Order: sequence, then C-alpha cells, then structure tokens
Amino acid sequence: MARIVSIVERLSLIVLRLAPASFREAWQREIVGTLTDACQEARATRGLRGLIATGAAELSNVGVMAMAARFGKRGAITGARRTTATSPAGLQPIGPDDRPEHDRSRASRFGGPNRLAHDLRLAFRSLSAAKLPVAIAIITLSLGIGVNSAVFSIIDSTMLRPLPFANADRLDEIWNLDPVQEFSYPGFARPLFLEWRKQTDLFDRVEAYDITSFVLDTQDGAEMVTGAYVTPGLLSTLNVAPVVGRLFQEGDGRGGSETRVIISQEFWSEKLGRDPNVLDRRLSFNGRAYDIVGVMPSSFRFPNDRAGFWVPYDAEAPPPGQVQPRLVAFVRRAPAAALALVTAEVERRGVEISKAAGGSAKVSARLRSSGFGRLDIQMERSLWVLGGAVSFLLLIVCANLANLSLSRVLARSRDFAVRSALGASRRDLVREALVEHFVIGLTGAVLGLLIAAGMLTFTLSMLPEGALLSSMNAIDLDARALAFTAVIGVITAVLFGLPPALVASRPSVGDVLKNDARGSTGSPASRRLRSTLVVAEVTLAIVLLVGAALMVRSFIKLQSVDRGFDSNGLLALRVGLPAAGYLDPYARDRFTDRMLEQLRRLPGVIGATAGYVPPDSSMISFGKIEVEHRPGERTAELVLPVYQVWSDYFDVVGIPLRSGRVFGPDEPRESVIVSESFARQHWPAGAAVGGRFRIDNGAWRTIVGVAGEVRQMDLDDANGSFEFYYPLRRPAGLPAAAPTGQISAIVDYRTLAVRTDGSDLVADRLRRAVHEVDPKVVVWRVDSVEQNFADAVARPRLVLLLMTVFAVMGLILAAAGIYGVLSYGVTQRRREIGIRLALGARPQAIGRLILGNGLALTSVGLGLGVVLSLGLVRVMRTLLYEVEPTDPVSVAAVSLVLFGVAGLAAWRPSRQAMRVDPVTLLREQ
Amino acid sequence: MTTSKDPRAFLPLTPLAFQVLLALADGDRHGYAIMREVEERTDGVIKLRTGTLYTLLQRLLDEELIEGAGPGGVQGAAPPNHQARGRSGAPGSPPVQKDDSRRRYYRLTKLGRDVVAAEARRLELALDEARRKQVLGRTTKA
Repeated sequence: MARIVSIVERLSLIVLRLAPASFREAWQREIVGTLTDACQEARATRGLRGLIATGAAELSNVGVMAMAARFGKRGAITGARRTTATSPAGLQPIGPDDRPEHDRSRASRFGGPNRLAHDLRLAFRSLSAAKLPVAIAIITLSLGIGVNSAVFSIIDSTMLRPLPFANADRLDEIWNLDPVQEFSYPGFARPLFLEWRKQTDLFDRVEAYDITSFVLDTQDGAEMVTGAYVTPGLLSTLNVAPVVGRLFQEGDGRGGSETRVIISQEFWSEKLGRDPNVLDRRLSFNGRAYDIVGVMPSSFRFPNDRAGFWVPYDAEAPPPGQVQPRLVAFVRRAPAAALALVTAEVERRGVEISKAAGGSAKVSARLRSSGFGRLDIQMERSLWVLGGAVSFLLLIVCANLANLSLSRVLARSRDFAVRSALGASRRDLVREALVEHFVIGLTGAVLGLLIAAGMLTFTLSMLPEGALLSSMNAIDLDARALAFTAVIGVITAVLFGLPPALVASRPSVGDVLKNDARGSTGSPASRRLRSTLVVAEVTLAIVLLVGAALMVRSFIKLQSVDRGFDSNGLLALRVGLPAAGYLDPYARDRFTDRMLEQLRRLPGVIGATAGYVPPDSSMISFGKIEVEHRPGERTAELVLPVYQVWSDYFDVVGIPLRSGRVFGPDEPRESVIVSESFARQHWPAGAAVGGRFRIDNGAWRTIVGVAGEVRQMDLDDANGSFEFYYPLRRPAGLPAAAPTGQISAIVDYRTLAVRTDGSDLVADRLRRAVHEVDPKVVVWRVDSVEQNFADAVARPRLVLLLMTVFAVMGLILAAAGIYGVLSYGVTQRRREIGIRLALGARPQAIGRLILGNGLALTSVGLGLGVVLSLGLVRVMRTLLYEVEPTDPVSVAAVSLVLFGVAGLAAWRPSRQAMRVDPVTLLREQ
Repeated sequence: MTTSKDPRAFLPLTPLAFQVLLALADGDRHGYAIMREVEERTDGVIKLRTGTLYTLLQRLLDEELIEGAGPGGVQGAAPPNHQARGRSGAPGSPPVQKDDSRRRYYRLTKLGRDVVAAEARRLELALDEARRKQVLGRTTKA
C-alpha cells in the first residue's frame, strides 16, 4: 500500500509539471505533501479503495490547478452576485475590478440576450416600486409625445412629405405672374399652354389639369360632382397604377374619344356600389354618356382630395365646341435641368412666351415648386404656430421628467450604493437605469401614438370638407410619424431621466450608507437644478397661455363683429341653370321670378331674393378705380367682392340702405350700389349717389345707392370692406345675347337667399321646390349662411381650440412641477423647519415661507415668460384679429390664472411644513 | 505596501473562501489541517481538495487576508495523526513533524479577521430575514 502512495506521489510530481516553474518552486513541495497526507488518511480510513479514489480525485484536482496556474487564472474568493456554480478548483471570474474584459460576454449564464431579459426584469421591479411617479412620468410623456406626433403628422403630410408620385422632386406647376404686383395665379389659355410645351430644354413633360364639376344624372336626380380635366399624359406622368382598368393614353380626349372617364375609388363605392363590371358602365355627365375606362386607388388625390373623376382633354386637338378649361400647367423638369436654373428661366421667358401665344405682354410666369406653398399662407402659419406650441409643451414635459427623476434619486442612490458594495460595477448600474428609462420612453411612445391618432381624427373632423387642409398625401400616422414618435419618446425619457440616475450611481458608497435623511443628493446644486427646471416650465407655460389668451380675445372679437346683415335663419340655395333652356338670359330671369314666387309660398319662408350672400360673392373684381370727379387719378389696385343682386335683396338679406335707392325692374346695367366706406372715401361730403366711377378701362358706372358695410369675415379686412352690388336682372329691351365661345353644361349659377323662421323642414323643401319649377335645374348646395360663416372661421377656431388645450396642459404640468419641487423642499428641510418651530416660530410663518418660495419661483417664471412671449408672439400677429400681441388684458388675465394655480400647488406643501412636529423630528436624529 | 482595504469589498465571500478563513479563525493551521477541519466541520458536505485549497490559499495570501505563520506548530492545533512516510520512519512509529516546506502554517491577518466577521454578519442578516419570514419553520431564535 505504501507503494501505491509513493506512486501517487510521483504522479503528482508529473502532474505538477503542468504548472509554470515559478509556481512549482514556491508550492510544489507543500502541495505534494498535502496530497500525500490526504491519500494516507484515505488509506487509513477506507483502505485501498479509498486510497485509489482519493488519489485519483486529488490528482485531477491538482492537475486543474496546475493548468490554471499556467494560464494565469486566479482563485475566487469573492462571489460576484452572478457566480453560483463552482468549476473545478474553485476557479471563476471574480470581483468587479478583477474581471478580465472578455469574461463579461460569457459571464456564466448572463450573456447577450439573457442579460437583456435580466435587465428588463430588474427594470420592471424597480419601476413597480415607485408606481406613482412612474405613472405620472408615463402619462405626461405620452401626452407631450401624442400632441407632437399629431401636429408633426399634419405638417409632414401637407408640407414636408414628397408628393406620392414618381419623380416627385421634379414635379412643379407653372402659374401666371403679374411682375408688378408680385401676384401669381394659375390657369393658361390653350395657346399659352402649347407654347410652354415647346420648352423642351426645361421640361420633359408639360401636362395640365383643370378642376371642374359635372352634372351627374342618377336615378335620384341630378347632382354635381367635382373632378378634373387632365391632359392624357398627366396620369402616366404621375405614374400611379389604377386599381381597375387603365390610365389615359395618347388619343384620349380628341374628337370622338373625349367621352371617357376615370373615376376614383370613392366614386366607385358610393355611386356605383363597387360594381365589378364597372368598366362596362357608362355615366351621364352633363347629359352625355361617358365610358368608364379605369378606377384610381383611394390614395390618389389629385389635384385635391375631392376629385372624384378625371376626363381627358387633349390640348393639341380638342374636340370642336368643347368648353375650354383654364389649364393649370403641371410639369416635370428635365433630368438635366437644375431647379434654380429652371426657376430663373421660367421667369425670364415668361413674357416672351405669353406674347408668342398672343397674350398680354404684362404677364410673366413663375415656377411653383411642390412643397411649401401648397397650402394657403394662413394655414401654413397656423401649423407652424401649433408646431411651436407643442414643442414647448414637450419641453415642459421634459422638465417634469427630469424633476421626477431627481426626486427618485435619493432612494436610488441608497439602492445603488448597496448594490455597488455587493459588486455591481458602475457600468451595470447605469445600464440598468438606461433600460428603465427606455421602458418608460417606449411606453410613453405607444400611448402617445394612441393620443395622436385620436387628436388627428378630432382635428380633421373639425375642418370643413378638408378644404383648408387638403393635401395630395393622406393625412394620417404613417411610418415616418411612427418613427418620429418612437424616437422622440425614447430620447426624451433617456435624455431627461438618465442624468439624475447617473449622478446617483457615483461611488461614494460609504457616505450614502451612513446617513439617511440627509441624503447625498440634497446638495444645493440639485436644489438649484430643480428650481431652475421649474422656472423654465413656468416660463414656457406662460408663453403658451399668453398665446392662447390672445387667440381667445381675437376670436371673440371676430365673432362679435357686426356682420352688417342679419344672418339668422338665412339660407343660401345655390342652383345651376343648364344650357338647355337657359342660354337666353331673360329665361334665367324668368326662372328666378318663378322660383322666388314658389319659395315665398312655402311655409316657414319669410322672404326670398336672388343674389349671392356673404361670405360668398358673385365675382371678384380687380382693378384700379377712377372716379369721375377726379379724372386721371387712379387708386391702387383693389380686390373686392361684387354681388349681383335682385331688387329686394337688401330688404330680405337685411343690409341697410344708407342713401339712394335699390335697383328697379328695368335697372340699367351700369348702375351700382356701393358700400359706405367706399362712398365715404371718394365722396367725403356724402353726395355719392349720382357719382360715377370705373374700374380700369371698363364702363363708367353710376351709383344709385349706398349700403351699410358687410364684414367679409376675412382676417385681412384691410380695405375696410368695400363691396359693390350690381343688378342681376337684365333690363328689358336688350338684344338676346348670342352664345359666345364654348358652351358648358351649366350656363349660370345663381343663389337664392331665403329667410326662414328657422325650422329645419324648410331646407329639405327647398330642393323639391326647385325641381317643381324646373327639374332640369341642378341644385348645387343648400347651406345656412351661419354655417358658411362658421366654416370661414373654422381654421382660427380650431387653432384656438388646440392652443387652449395645449396651454391648459402646460399649466397643469407647470403646476405639478411647482408642487413637486416645493414638496421635496419641505421634506429636505424638515430638520430646519423642526428647529425653527422648536425655537418658537409660528407654524403660519413656516407655511408662508413655503408659499413664498412657490410664489417666488412663479414670479420669476412669469417675468421671463412674458418677455419671451413678447418676442415669439409677434409671429402670431398675422393670425390675430384686431388684437395686438402685447395686449395687456391677456397678459394680466394669464398672470392671475398662473398665480392662482401656483398658490394651489403650493398650498399642500406649505400645510405639510406647518404640520411638522419638531419633537418627533428631532428624536429621529 | 499597505493599503487599507475595505473588508466589505470582499463580500460576499465564496463559500469555500469563507470556510478556509473560518478554519483559521481559532488558530494557525497548515494546508492539510484546513482541509480536514472543513470536511469535519461540515460533515463531509464541503470537501476541499488539494488543488482547490492551494488556489484559494494563494489568492488569500495575495489579498493579504492570511499570512504565512512559519513552519512548525507555532501555535494552535497539532497536525492530525498520520503515518510517517517510509523514508523517515518505520510504520507505526509516532507522528513526526516533517520539515518546513511541507508544513507551512497559515494565519488570519487583521483584514482577514474583519472580512470573515463581515461575511458572518452578512449571513446573520440573511438568516434573520429568513427566520422573520419563517422560512425555517416556526422556530424561535436558537
């Protein structure tokens, strides 16, 4: 047996060869000795078997140790929290400082995805431990993100996103340009359009469209539908595939092939019931049969989202007698032509081309790039203002997040310190904090999306018929909006939640573990930071509030403006008189008489007359006015509405007549009734009646009456409401007007103004009344004038509503911020308060102290906010109606509201402070 | 070079390290004695092998939790009985202390004492929690 022991001994020497020489020198003899002892013991207690078993075990154990020594691995004496299993010879990656880099990745069972799962688990645990602050953080974050997403989505769809067509970056329109007035407008006559087609060096495609309306005969009667004429190449330039059938091609739109139509998917659903045999169907447009050759997808919204059909118009060879559209040139720049070059060339060549086409030499052309400028300027400005408002709101949310994070820091720093003592590295702690905030951010983003969707739906429903916010792109939450939301959510949460957590993870372990309530983050620096954040919040909230207040005042002023007539119960019935039967203007007048007679007989109708009712007008007149008693002098270019009216118009509509008379039955065509301000301006002495004037070189007109002002509800009412009224009825004795030029289906649109006693029944009856007089006459619309005015202010009303919502949200968040910082301050200063109370201070004084703190913060924020809003709100000037951005009433109102809210927010902390019991407090120490 | 290390930095100790330090708590021992004590104290649950032991001893020395206490039984427990090896004596002869390099003794340093105490306290805390939560059954504190 002794032999066996010595064999084991010799084997151990061999095994130890595996170890480096230095190691052997230091340890060999001892190790061999111990090993041998063990074997001897085993032999003594368990005999041969024991010896062999022990010998084998010991030898292999020593072998592993020798190998480890060779590879420089050291023994583990500290179990990092992750180490549980022991490998042979107790070798493990060890404590935080000693862990070699590469071991991190294979850190036992926590590599890669497992680590993420582990971190997520920890994150959820940590977040659930502080449910209230975390819930508040998520809710405020989702609100801030939601509104930002919605506004971004709208701005993106209408202004930023490229057109959903092929080569969208090369697509433009060419408009006419009045170089003197810098005023551009669309619409070319055919020869001009053809001239532009010759500019092949600039454009490789020159197409055109014109929005039009056709009378569609259905079994329910005639109705008007909106669509567009398009040149046959236009649809293929846009390169959107039809869902059924084909696009137009060369040859469509010529004589014999012009009665073809492509319809929209909505049209197909609503009017044809999605008939699968749609291509076999024919539609009766303006009395002619059109063949359906294709159906466009619902995402195709050209040139606006109301277009329901497209008919071809071949500009080179239009069918004879076809009504000529006013062609809006839609072009594609040649690939080699740079935008700047083309823009310059278009303006340069504009006049020549106009002359070559036989047009005016005073008109040039301008290239209108798609992109900005698609919306009217007011809408664009409103969107930018809203964008600014929601950004401010988001900043307030960020400040709140930072504050919330700071207030959790105290608890966390203790937690961090303990974990640090147990071996967590700073990197681990930071990583875990990062994951936590990531979770908050992602949750906020998801909820924010829901809020955004809701807000979009609401916004779009508040705008009438998409008229103001029409876009070729669908306005919805697309991939870009989703990405924007997610990114903003995560960045905000991480950016504002992380730094406080980082601060807390700094390794001053000992200090934190030693003191409790004093806390390592009670430093003056952190208090200052929190105060600064709150002041910033209040400042931003003030700006929002001032903006909203200004808009409220502006809107109230707008609404309370005296319109100049009585719109109560007034309905506007718009009809279209078809060519068949109404070519003769006298026939139209006869119809009007019969129609009015019929309408007056209806129950509930108090009066009826003919003539457009504001805010609609019969036409717009531009030109310079020359007044007879000041010959040769002309005013500046004026743009004003003209109304063609019946004789009893003023009476029924309720526009007061200041002097003169209304039109008579045989009123000469050049009679005119003008509005007060026009009369006052040119006949200050008051003798306008009888005076004469003309517009540019038109016929001289004689003033027969002066009427009261009518407000156009236009925020740009700079001209002080000039209106002209012309007689609608054609005086007897004139020769029957020969039809000139092309004949369209509808020769004349007229509005019949009907004053009712307000009952709804009348509106329905009106349509029938028209068809009773003449079924061929098309009823275009029946609107209440009140509703029309409401639509006219729909945009400012919506912007106002949104601004108010944002401002209120901002205020609540700022108040929450004030509450948070004061309440935290009270907790921190408990000792100080306790001492003061113990020394005899009255609780009320303490309460006032806290309240004073709160009000101080608020005041600073208010001051900064007012200054800031003065600057920014200048931007809003164009959106405000007769209210100056520095309106003191608004500022005063806002200040009052703010102090009230701040007082409320400070109330509870100050009561908390008053209730501090110095005895228990000092005992705790 | 003496750096005052924080004993808490070593927490938690691995079970083996704790056992080794514990074995040295009441006196100096040499390697084999440590192995034996741990085995006996834990009723064979923890069986230290030579390689494992010396890896630990090396590390503990590096970290200055233990120090060499010189050859021979300076203080404390006598080495366990064993039979002398063939060369040095006849079988059955009384136990003979072999020479230095085979019997290096070890003892705890002040740091080592602090560390094992800290660990013990840590375990005590854990045990208290467990007791409070009645994980160990409804027994009162022993």
